[in-house]
Amino acid sequence: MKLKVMLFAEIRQTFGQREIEIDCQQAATVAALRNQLKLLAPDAAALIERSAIAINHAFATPDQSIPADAEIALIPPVSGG
Amino acid sequence: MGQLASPDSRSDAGQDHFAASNFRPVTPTVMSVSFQRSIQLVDNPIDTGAVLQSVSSVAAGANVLFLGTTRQFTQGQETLRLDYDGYREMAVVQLEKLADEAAQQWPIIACCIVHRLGTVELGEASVAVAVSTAHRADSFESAAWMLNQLKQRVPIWKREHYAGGVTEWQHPEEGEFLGNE
Repeated sequence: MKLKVMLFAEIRQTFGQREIEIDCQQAATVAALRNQLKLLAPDAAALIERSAIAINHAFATPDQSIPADAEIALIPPVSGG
Repeated sequence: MGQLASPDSRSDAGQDHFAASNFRPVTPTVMSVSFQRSIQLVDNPIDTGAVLQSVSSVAAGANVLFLGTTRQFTQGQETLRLDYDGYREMAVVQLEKLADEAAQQWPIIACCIVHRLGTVELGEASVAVAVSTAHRADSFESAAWMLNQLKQRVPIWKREHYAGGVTEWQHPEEGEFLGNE
């Protein structure tokens, strides 16, 4: 299945786009998605490792599986306020 | 609990309320009294007077307003300005959650959190947190707690523009990023 992942801040800058489309297995886990993202952008792998993944506006755990129609975002360490 | 006086239209002038949940009464699971919260993301200068006014209540003896402002010097480096980016929909969700959690720990009458996105010049406010309670300890403590939570779990990021031309997104290594628990 194809997943769209929203990108922000430094990671958006590295990829050069606001979101990226990834080919994933059905019911891929958050951990598997993270690994694919690291392969796509090896220069950003360390930051991707420190980043969270959000599914439908909530932080996800590594073993969580990703629904096909989910809104997914890669959330690097935050710095609001 | 009666309706709080809402900000008049004059104090809303110039605000871009991209995502807002205004004055929705929320009943936390622990407290028996509902509290009122207002969460906003804006793209223009924060009306800080309106933020403080929005939590006013005759039930409150204490009203606290915190402003986070752009500071010029940090550890010898000079900041020219800051840019803020945010995942807007999730930022509002997380801000609502942390306000609700605060209301479970302190007897909050009303709170208002406004975060600005885009460029924030030196001395300007990027974030405002206002809270009212009957007594002052609860206002001081809950405002500090909400700000600390915001800085750990709300998907908003700042980019420093340093004197000399370097710009750098801030993704702190130290501290507790609660997204990865």
